[in-house]
Amino acid sequence: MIRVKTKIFSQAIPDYFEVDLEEGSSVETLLNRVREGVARENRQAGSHKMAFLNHTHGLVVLLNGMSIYSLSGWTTRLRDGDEVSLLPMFAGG
Amino acid sequence: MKKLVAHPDKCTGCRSCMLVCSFRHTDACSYPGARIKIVSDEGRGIHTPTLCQFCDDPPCATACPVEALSKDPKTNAIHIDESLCNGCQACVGACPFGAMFFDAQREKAFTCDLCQGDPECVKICLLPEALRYA
Amino acid sequence: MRFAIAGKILHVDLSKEKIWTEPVPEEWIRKFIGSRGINAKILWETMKPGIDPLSPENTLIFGTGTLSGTFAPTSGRTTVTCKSPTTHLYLKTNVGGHWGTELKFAGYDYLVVQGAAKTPVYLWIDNGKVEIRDARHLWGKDVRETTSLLHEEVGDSATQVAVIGQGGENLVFFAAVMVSVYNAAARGGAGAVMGSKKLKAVAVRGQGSIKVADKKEFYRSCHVAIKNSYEDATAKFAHLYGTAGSVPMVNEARAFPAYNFRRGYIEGAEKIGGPYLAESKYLKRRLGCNACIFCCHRYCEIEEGRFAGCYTGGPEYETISALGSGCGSIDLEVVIKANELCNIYGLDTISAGNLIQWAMEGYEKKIFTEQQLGGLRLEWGNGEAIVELLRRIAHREGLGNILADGVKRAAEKIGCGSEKWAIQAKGLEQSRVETRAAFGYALAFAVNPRGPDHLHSETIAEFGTRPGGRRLIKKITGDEKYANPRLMEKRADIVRWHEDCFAATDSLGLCAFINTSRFGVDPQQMADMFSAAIGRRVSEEELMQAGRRILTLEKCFNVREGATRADDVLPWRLMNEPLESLARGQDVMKAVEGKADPAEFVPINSPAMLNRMLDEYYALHDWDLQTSWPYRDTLEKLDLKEVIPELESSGKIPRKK
Repeated sequence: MIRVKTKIFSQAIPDYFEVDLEEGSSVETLLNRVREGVARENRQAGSHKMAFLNHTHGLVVLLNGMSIYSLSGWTTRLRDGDEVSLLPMFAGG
Repeated sequence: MKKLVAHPDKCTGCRSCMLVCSFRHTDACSYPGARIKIVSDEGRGIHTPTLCQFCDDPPCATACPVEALSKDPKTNAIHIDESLCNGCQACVGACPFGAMFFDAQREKAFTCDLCQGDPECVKICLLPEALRYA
Repeated sequence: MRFAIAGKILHVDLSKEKIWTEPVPEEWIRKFIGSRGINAKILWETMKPGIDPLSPENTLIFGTGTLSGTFAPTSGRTTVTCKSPTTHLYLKTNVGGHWGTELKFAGYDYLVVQGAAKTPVYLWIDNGKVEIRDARHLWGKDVRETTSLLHEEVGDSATQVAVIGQGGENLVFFAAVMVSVYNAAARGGAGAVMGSKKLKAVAVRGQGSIKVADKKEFYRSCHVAIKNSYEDATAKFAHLYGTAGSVPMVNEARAFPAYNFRRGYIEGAEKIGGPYLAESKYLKRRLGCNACIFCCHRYCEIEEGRFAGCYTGGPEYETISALGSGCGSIDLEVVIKANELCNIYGLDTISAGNLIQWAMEGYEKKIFTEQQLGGLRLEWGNGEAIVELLRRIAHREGLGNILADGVKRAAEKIGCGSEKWAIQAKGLEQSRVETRAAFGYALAFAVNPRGPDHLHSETIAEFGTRPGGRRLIKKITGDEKYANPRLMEKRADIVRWHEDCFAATDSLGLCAFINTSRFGVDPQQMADMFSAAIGRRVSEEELMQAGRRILTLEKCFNVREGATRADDVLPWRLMNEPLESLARGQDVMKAVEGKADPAEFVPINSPAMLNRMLDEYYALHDWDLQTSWPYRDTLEKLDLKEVIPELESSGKIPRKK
């Protein structure tokens, strides 16, 4: 088993989840696991988060600080201790 | 009938509306040529759109001595018959919102005509949504 | 009347008290577009090399965009150009607000200020009429107060004012020129140049108009740009959260400078980020520059607590990092208060924050005397100290006087090894990008003529986080896989495309956020708007070529001032110390010793890595690799023959081998 830390920025203050997965799980598997966890939560609090998690094209996904699009995308394999952050798309300087 | 409503708390003071309004109605972009004016207190970040309120019983029309002002039945905007307007500016003084303007060169009054029902200013304010036509 | 431009350059010589105008040469619009480009041409023509930037010999130029004064989206930007007191090199600094458009409506596209007044003055430009007026009663007053007083004096609160605060008056090397109260031409010390001329303000009232050549085509092309802008994925977030919205993402990417660039991450950064600010009691309004359709600026107030009564524009991402995480703080009230002080004193927040961080690190390392500190306790995160130190910098008091000369000189003066944590190159403090985590940025920062920051070519696309960005990288390099900030490959190509685009964007008067920060608008659309405005067909190639010509001219100004390849470096810390928060798991010693395989990502901007990228970049530009100077035929091909005689006579045209 591997343990992956997930930070979700569906709101201003992020939510933290620690997720246990099988060895070699992909980022996509992680996302599905998180969605399952949120669906089990209180409905009202969860709906905004669910909408955020379902809007896959509007997500910035970072694995240890690196965009997954610079790796193998959603099929990128995770390792124990990895940190994954899910953020909405922003820009600026 | 659709109404053009300003939401001052959303106004960012960008003046895109003034630039596109003057472009639409005159041969150039300018502030004096615009029929919507943004009044600003830059220090306090307050910007207020000034434009015609499309009164049901418009004081400008009442004040006009030659009956040049009427309501356009299609849009509810003020229509100014330029063949009658004699440039006296009574309407300018009568408007409680300061939203009737005067073109000193042509000696005619002018105000928002809602661009015949497709207001340009609204189309350029889609993110702040300070101007809404609905 | 000419199309798109008012048609006149306004010249003011403050030593001779002379005012005169000349027409804007049509040739200059063709070659240099406008604003930044024509400013650079005027700077080249009016300046001799080697002069003291704070002497009357410096030229201070305000240049409006060729599309300013129209409703072309984001067209209200203005460039201020001069020789920088902090780098002694080329400086252009860009600003929004509404001043530039007002100047154009007053009948002038450019204001060129030379010489220096004997006592403080301000310029009053009332449509065609120009006066030099006494400003002694305004000297010593802050930006906001001066603006109000000028409104009263000229009797019109719609007057646009470009003004310096105590920062510029006291020749702080990172003093800003402020317009529309909270908009800053911030970087590089243009405010100090204005202060050295004893020019307190330029007040403008413009009731004229700007015509375009082809109304129908102009309307069409502008609306294409507007539509594409609205459809970009991040347009709405730009309005909702501002540049502050980037904070959480950059922090998660471990690229958010904290503790004077010791770390790229700070716990709790979201508390100084855009979404948190938007939900807080502090954000009162969202504001926009002239003709903008995104309107990404903030306006905040603090109503209670230790900073009750504070009200200000901002904060932007850069300010948040410079005066927040950089100082080891995630206190939003401190960031807002510090921003207010920088705005009203007229200081660049990026440099001001950099100096405070340098001082905090120095305090930690005990390099200052009690006398220098004057009671200040510069612990990381101490908000009261940040606020007090800003006041001392603006007024050149105690330690503030040392810091006011910029971090390079402050470190030279204090020594104790503090040069190693002075985050500067060329004499300019680096802006808030962790270049050890983004190599395109690293190259762009190293070659920027004004010093290490992102406003010469911001390569956001290389992060690979957004589809528009990945498409752009593919367009430039042929493959989306190069949308990876930790690669060295293709950085030169990416930077060079961005440089051309930025120069064209700035010179048209458009905001940099329209095409490389959002991806809705491309150079073709810009060329379409430009063509319709001026009444002459300009292709995308011609527009980008003009961009190339502009930045090459800027490079030539630096060459003339004595800059060489040796100046295209990054701050010592970033070239010698690997980034802590990414170094976990990396072989750090290999990186430091330069023994790491270049293909392997190491979080450091080592000389070996930088040199490799510089070689590629100079080769792409057709500049000499050893000196970085353009060859004769490079300049001829770019239609920049006019710079050759002077460069040649001072031995600065390299021979091709």
